[in-house]
Amino acid sequence: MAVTLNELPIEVLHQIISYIPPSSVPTVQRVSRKFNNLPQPLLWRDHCRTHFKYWSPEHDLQQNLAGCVTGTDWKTLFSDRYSIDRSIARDVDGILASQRYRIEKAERILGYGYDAKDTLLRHLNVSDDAEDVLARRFYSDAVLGGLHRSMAITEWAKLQDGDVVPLERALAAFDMFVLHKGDGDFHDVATRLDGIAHQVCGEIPDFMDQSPQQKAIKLAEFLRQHNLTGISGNSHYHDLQNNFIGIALQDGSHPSLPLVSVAIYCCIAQKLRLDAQPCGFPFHVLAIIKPPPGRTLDGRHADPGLPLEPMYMDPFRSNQEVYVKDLQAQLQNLGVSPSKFPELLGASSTAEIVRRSAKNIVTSLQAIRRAHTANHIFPDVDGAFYAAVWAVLLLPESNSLTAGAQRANCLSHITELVEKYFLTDTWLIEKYILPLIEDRTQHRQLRDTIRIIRTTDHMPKSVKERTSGSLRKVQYKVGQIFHHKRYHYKAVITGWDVECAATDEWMVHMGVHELPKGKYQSFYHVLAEDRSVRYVAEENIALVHEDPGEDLMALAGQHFKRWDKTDRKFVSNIKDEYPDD
Amino acid sequence: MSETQKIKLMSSDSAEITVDRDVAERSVLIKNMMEDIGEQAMVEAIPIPNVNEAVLNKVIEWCVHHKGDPPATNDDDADSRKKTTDIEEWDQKFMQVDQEMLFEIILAANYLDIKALLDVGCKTVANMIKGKSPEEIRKTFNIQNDFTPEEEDQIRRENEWAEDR
Repeated sequence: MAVTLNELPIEVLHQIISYIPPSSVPTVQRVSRKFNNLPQPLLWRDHCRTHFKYWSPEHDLQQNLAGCVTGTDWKTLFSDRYSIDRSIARDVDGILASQRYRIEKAERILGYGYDAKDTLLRHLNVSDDAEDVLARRFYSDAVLGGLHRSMAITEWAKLQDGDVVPLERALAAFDMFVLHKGDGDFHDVATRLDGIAHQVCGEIPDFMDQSPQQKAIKLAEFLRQHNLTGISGNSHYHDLQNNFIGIALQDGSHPSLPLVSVAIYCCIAQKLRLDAQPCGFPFHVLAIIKPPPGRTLDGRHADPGLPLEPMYMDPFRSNQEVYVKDLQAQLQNLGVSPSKFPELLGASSTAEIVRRSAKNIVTSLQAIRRAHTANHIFPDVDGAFYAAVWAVLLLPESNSLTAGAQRANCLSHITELVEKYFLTDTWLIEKYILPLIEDRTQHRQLRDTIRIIRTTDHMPKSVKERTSGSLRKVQYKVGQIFHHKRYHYKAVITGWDVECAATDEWMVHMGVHELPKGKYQSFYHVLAEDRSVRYVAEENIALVHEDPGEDLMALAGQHFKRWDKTDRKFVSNIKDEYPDD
Repeated sequence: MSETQKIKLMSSDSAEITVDRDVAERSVLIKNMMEDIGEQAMVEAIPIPNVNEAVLNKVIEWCVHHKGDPPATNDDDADSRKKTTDIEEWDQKFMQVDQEMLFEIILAANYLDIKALLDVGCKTVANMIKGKSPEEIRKTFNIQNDFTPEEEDQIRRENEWAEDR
């Protein structure tokens, strides 16, 4: 008799159904009772694991995967994630479709936490020939960035509240600001550090049986041998990437500043049951290793009458112990009063280390600016600076005389950057900064700024049609790229006015009246390659007949769908504002 | 180089088929039997009681074509486990048979323990199911709808998440 599908062995039917896309499985279940019983928890667990890589921590996914398969309702977990995925996809489409309610839609996506990441990454990795490729990549990246930043800021806010945050997380928070679609998030950093700790035990026999002192030295040797600390190769001390623990761990040559080297050293040491913490020595962070209770560092029983002496290591540049008398001598040479020695030679709090790392980032940025070199190795300079100001704002120096001024300074940087680049972070200001502001004027100003951002998000754009009169006068179109005749930068036109619509003050400052055609000519809103937004007189525009560079392609997604090779212009995604361009 | 070893297989309908040993050993079942019975297998035909001549010939055709394939990896990594139903062109053509033969091949692959062939067979069936409504699936594979209307309702409710809205 002929075999039918129904009669295939159950394990074969299980295999067949494993090849059916999960959203079609319910259709198959409706075929017959036998088929209805086919999808088992194992199938849904596999789909959870293979379809989604990133999960919000509350799912305890790793733990559940390791546990008994029936211990978790995998089908519900999958169908919930699937519904979230679709809801996010709808909001991403909505963000692309209209300039209105973008912040609101982004905030809805961010509400799903790390569960949103897979969906955003999928849209971010949309293929080159997608109809709205540039816009889709730009806005998925923007929302994903907002997601990463909110996770980072949450960690620093915990520190601010006095909660314990592991050093590796507190520092990896900086990475989250510049992560984009790359690896090196909290989980990656923790996994890498665990892996190295494991490697130490594997490669150094009886490591765990050694005295704390021996462990401290052997660990430094190991890290330096494997080039996991310090700076080597082509990296310079002030290169921005040396400030990031995630980048240091992922990068092939692992360059890192002393602070990050020490953090890597301490995090691994702690996993190997060594009490190591960063010590905020002036100009050069060290590691301080304290003996375990009742023992000395060389592993003997401690004499109850004697104080337990710590030891110091400098894994950034040496395998050797650093002696406390040398450190004291250095402090003396710096003119530090001996009463401050205990503080400077003690362990630093995680908040202090985060603050110091933020200052290092600002120093690196100043060095880059001084050298006038575009830092091409490190693309997200704005993200790095933004991270630093958030860190300093949330974790200010205690009882510093300049605290108020420092806070005001950070605040003005943050609001400026949010308005320019990080509109999706508006809610972070509301949640984490507003409650910190005691000064009533500042508080009101900040609330006004937020209100304006939100109102603008809700308001329809005023429509600028090319009515017959203005059409004649406005020569160039939204989406065209040009060279500035006088300043020689390349930019794309994102909007226009029939004549200069800026304030008189601006016109005087920019010398508009000295232009041959003055203010009575078309003026264009433009987005330049360096990410700046400018306002340009028509007579200064020279259209270019070449493809835009990579920088402009990445930025253009804010206003455009894609580059049209034949028309040599960007295809507008702001038709709600300029319907005829 | 030594000459390829030949062995004989005996189908369920008593047909003797001669085949290269390395081709037959794509079947884990046959490979294990060869190890168990040793030299004896070189002389006598190995009985394959569950597979008839037509199907066995088809299976051997597949094994010959895939003789040089690298051995299957048992990778448990999530990425490599991502289920695709892509089938290479030769296999697609190979599987263009009537339903009865398709299921016979699947059963034979399952019995003979030829994992890669079983995969191709299951993917082929999955591709026949994909995109069809329950009624179309029933029609394609001649399956009776044995649900009560209440049961049908309940299943629909349980699976609303997957419906396009």
